[in-house]
Amino acid sequence: MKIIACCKAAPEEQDIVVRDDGSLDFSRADYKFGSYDLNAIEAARVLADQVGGEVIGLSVGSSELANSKLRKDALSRGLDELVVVTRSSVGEDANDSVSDLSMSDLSVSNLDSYQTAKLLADALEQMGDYDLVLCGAGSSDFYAQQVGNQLGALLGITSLSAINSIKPDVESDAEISEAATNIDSVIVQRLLEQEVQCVRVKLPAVLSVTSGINVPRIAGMKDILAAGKKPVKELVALGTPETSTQTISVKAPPAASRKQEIIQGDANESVARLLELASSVLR
Amino acid sequence: MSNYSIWVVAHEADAAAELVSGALCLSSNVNAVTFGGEAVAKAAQAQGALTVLSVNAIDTPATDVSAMGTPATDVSAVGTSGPDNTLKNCLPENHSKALAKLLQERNSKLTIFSATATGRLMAGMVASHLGTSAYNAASITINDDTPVITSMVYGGCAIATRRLLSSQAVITVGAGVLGAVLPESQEPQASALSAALPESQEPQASALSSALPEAAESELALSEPQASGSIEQIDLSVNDNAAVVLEVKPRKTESVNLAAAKRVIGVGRGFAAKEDLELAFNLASKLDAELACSRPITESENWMARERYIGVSGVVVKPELYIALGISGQIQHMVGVNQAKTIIAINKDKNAPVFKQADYGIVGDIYEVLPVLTSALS
Ligand SMILES: Cc1cc2nc3c(=O)[nH]c(=O)nc-3n(C[C@H](O)[C@H](O)[C@H](O)COP(=O)(O)OP(=O)(O)OC[C@H]3O[C@@H](n4cnc5c(N)ncnc54)[C@H](O)[C@@H]3O)c2cc1C
Repeated sequence: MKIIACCKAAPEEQDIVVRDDGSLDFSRADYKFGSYDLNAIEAARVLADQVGGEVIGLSVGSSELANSKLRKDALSRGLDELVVVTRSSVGEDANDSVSDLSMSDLSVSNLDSYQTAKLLADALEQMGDYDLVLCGAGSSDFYAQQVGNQLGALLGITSLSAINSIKPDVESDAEISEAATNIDSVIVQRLLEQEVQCVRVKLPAVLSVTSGINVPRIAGMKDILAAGKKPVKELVALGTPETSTQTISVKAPPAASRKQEIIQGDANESVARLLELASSVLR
Repeated sequence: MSNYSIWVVAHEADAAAELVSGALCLSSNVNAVTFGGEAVAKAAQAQGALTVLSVNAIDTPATDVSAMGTPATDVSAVGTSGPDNTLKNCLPENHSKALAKLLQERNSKLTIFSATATGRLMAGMVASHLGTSAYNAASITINDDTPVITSMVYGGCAIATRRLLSSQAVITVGAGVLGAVLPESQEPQASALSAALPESQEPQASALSSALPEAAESELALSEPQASGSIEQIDLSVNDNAAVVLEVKPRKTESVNLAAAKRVIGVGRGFAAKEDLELAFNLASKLDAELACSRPITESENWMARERYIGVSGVVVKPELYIALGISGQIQHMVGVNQAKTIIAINKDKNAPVFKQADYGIVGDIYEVLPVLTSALS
């Protein structure tokens, strides 16, 4: 079984600094793969180990994807191979048209979910046959939760979201080892707001998994060393469709200032001190 | 009022009512495509949709269950009727391609879905067929015939304001976003998000009491002030390779109203086991506080209902007091509580980010501090 796990690198949100005027400073924020994309990689690995097969990571982005540490990080989480798709150059392939010129280059290089899905679909076409494409619950920067949904529709195959478990559609475990590469459908559980659906999905399909489907593995030293030897393929995007939005502004809402009275010490003393300081709100 | 052509798509009566009445704050030209039978279509009509196209339920075509071997679960539910005689084994999202074509024919400039898993999936698929992106809007206005939406980005650290350039834009909205001013006690989660926006970006307000969940079913039939629009039954073909629903189980949901609580206690992964939450329960009962949690407590541990998780993708609260217990204080969580009047945090890691966003903090083990605090409050 050939499983593709899609993942997006985005600036580490905890390191984005909000300037006094509410604009964002990304200079200290390194790129990392979104934590929910790791659930997709993990789900792909688990299924591939169960039925036999390979897991290929697929990421669309810009220059950040050239970073070998970032690549190794994804590869150390259970991928057999990584395919990165970069756009020729941000300048000539201008996307998100930004009215506020003071905004960072970053937003100029941002793709919307249709553009991303289209580039992923083009890449999948170049990569040949596949059985299953997995996406996470949403990227850590925009969290539109749409790339998987849009990708399935573009590929003309089944697209389902909120997937909380994936099992090969076979009668017994014995059949799994026999069938090996020949699984043509999976049974998934979808966690909706009011109900849980059990759905049979014919492959190939695109499934977007929940953040609760598994606990992504933490890469050990061995995994990280092995990751350095795994293949990375680079594809250049054929052409990006026009953007569907114009970003007017990206701004932090005003934040409340906090007292930050932090108490350290033994539990009894700390509680006594807290009751002193915060007596009015705890009555 | 603009005459901008809006279509809403809904598969539940409450959502149909709320989306139509809310969209009428944006334009007088609001129409609906409904799934799920007469009740849903009528709800849209009653709120004033000009045209309602009610999609006839179809069985998912030709997947021979027996030929595919016994699935991992019980298949007895295949093809059974839903509450309003709709066939449950065909998902509304299976019609996305035909739906996109229909919206194109009807010249929908803006199509609105509700921000549920089903609504979002349909929106994304339809958007792809229309050659555009689907966006989730925390607020929306129409300026010069162009929708302008806001969304939380970067884990909630900022709000992006975007103009939708597509001539056939697609969005999803959470409950309460579309201009509805709901009574405080019934305020749904998402409305708190729009309330967090700067004044000037807030959507136009209008009172829509009939869009409230409880009122929707019982009172709609009685009060049909402007139910002049037509309901047409239509057939929509099913996508190739449509998924087949084998079984549907209701999910345990909880009706909590965190938004109305004066005091909220949030528990995080600092709790090692579900039983240990008792420490938090005890404190909550002393303080007459509502219990809430971080997203992993709901999604990974499954210790609390999803209605109780706070943050950018969950509930936004504005209590007088928020107490974070064993919560690290990541931005995605804190954006849901940063409008609390006072924040207290207890965490054993003195470098936990939560302390930077707290008024008072105790660096300590919740297992030691909580019993002392709870008994000290007697
Ligand atoms: C796109 C996206 C959306 C998200 N949306 C949300 C959201 O809406 N809401 C949300 O909550 N999260 C959300 N998250 C997840 C978020 O990033 C954090 O992972 C999550 O909030 C962490 O939860 P936590 O603080 O309970 O767990 P952790 O980060 O694991 O923190 C546990 C804390 O407990 C402390 N601790 C451990 N043991 C003890 C003890 N005995 N006594 C005292 N302290 C102890 C530790 O020091 C640590 O600080 C989102 C993530 C993404 C990527």
